[in-house]
Amino acid sequence: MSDYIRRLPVYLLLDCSGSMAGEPIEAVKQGIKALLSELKGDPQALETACLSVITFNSTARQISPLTELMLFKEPELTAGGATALGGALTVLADCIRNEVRTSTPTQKGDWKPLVFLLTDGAPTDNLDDGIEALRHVSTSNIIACAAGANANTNTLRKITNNVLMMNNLTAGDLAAFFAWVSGSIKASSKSIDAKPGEAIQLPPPPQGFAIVP
Amino acid sequence: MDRDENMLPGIDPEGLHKVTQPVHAELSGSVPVNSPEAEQADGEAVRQPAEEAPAAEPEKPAEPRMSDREVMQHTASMWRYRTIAEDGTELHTECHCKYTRTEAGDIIGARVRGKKHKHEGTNCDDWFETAEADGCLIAVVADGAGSKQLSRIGARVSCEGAVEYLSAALPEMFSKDETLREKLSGDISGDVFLGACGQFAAVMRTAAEKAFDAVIQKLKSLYSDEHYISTLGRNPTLADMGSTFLAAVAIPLTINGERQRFVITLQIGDGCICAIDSSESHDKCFRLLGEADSGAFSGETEFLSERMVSEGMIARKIRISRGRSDILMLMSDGVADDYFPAQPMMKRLLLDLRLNGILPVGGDTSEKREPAPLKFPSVTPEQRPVAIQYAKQLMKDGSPEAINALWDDRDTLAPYSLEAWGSSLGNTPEQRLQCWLDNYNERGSFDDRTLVVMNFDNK
Repeated sequence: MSDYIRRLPVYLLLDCSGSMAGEPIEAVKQGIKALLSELKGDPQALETACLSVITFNSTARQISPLTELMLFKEPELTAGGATALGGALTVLADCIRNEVRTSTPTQKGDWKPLVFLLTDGAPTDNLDDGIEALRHVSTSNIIACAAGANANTNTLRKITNNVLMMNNLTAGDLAAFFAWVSGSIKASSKSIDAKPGEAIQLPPPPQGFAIVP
Repeated sequence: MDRDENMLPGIDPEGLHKVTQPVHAELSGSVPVNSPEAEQADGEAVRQPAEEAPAAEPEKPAEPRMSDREVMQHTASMWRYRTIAEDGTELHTECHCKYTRTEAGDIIGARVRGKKHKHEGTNCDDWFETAEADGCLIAVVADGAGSKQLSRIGARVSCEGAVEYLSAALPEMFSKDETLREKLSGDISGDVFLGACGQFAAVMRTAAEKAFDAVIQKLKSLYSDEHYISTLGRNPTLADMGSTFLAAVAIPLTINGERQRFVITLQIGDGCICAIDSSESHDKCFRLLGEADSGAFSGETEFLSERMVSEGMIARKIRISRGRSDILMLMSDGVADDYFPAQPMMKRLLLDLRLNGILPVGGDTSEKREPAPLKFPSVTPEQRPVAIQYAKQLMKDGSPEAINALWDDRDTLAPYSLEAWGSSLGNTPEQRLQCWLDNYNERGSFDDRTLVVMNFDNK
């Protein structure tokens, strides 16, 4: 029996550089746990969304391949090293190319991927290479979150128009961010059959966050 | 995490604790399959972690997969049923079904509120109307734009407007020209036939205009209404009423002693209109009688609008055909998407209608044969288990070849049918159609569903 349904691929790009060590990385882990438990209670999300995690520090790699929500295993996260954001975008482009199904005359492809990027610093590698790699894949929906005072929102604006700023890198704010991500995934899995192809409507960002104009 | 010895490799027990039925993982790649029930994955290869993965990770099992059915067994009972809150605007009834018996055949139609709308307590946006007028069979289906709050009203009044017009205009054409049926029965390349085609194309175009007029009149009547202003935060506009528009008129004819139909259709927006000759083999039986959007799959859906009913646009969307096809179907995308692509999947739809007693299955149902129909809980307060049979279950896979093989074997379906298994979806064909639409399960399918079937008798 064919398993070809239209999935909503969701990629989490998480900064695991040295500055995330301690409370922030623990908060990210808790955030993913909460995100999963929230999404597993929503039948629409369970039937449509798939999740992948890409982490970056001195290098970038996909630690969780795009996986059925019900089978998704929380990844092991450790913080340390630099901020290879450019590399993360290149890995993302590769993953989308390999994992996201495109449409053919006989098969409806997956929905456009939803990408959430969380970083607390400035890239230490060549960001333009990553942006160039992403140009060749279909990703209309990237939401970047600049976490804390050291994050560079101008850099993130080069990647996407959807940039959020989290003023403090606290456990509470990170938890709020992940709650917002799960709300966004739910909203997207609900609206896909209403307005496919159009820009997604995300819920308003949580308190303490600002949308970077 | 320690893995339970009894689990299949690569499955996280935590991820499965809520699964109501035992899960059989579908493994891919070179991982040994240690369960007789595990199947080779039929999808793409599972992506392995990047090459630069540090050697520190002790093991990297292949990613497990779940079948769509396993996911649905888990989600089926999670769907909530919420009634629609009164807000002073015109609400849609939950569902509707209708049966019309004519001399030439039956029209069976039904629509149901989708799981998503039930879960959220919002209206069904689909509508359909059917009628018979002077021997002509008429059906119109409309699907209100999901993102527009009043689209259900646009869908309803456009169906009503078109059917009202057609019910008057068609008899008038036949009374004005007593030779019209003869003309429609004539040489298909002759001027007389083509002239008659032009007349009917004009009537179909006017039907679309009348449908659009009905939407405008309705909008005028709602303007300044406090309930609508409070619901929308402003006065309603035409865009709030947007809906698709699928119409078909079938005129039964007798040509050289053989029963045929002259069929004229119009499709604006997504959904599907098609004809099937159920006596034909898989390669000759199917005809698509409309096209959804022109562009990419995820493109915006077209809606009934002033631009769409203009002469140039509509001429491209009207289809005329004549032949022996005994099944004519119109449906909203809530059904069409579950049977995509139409060729060959609409054959599977027709087989599903037979297996579930909506159309006669034919043959001997006194003995039953495995696989048994599948039971999922209904999305109602009672969560009553409803047995449905799926043609999919009778095929080795979902490939076009498998569907075509089953189609050519369709006279042997009876032992798999609901009837053979001793259950029924309702007392009448239209109730069974409604119950089937309301309860068949496809993963990721939770839109409103509407299907109208014209079933003609060729004997």
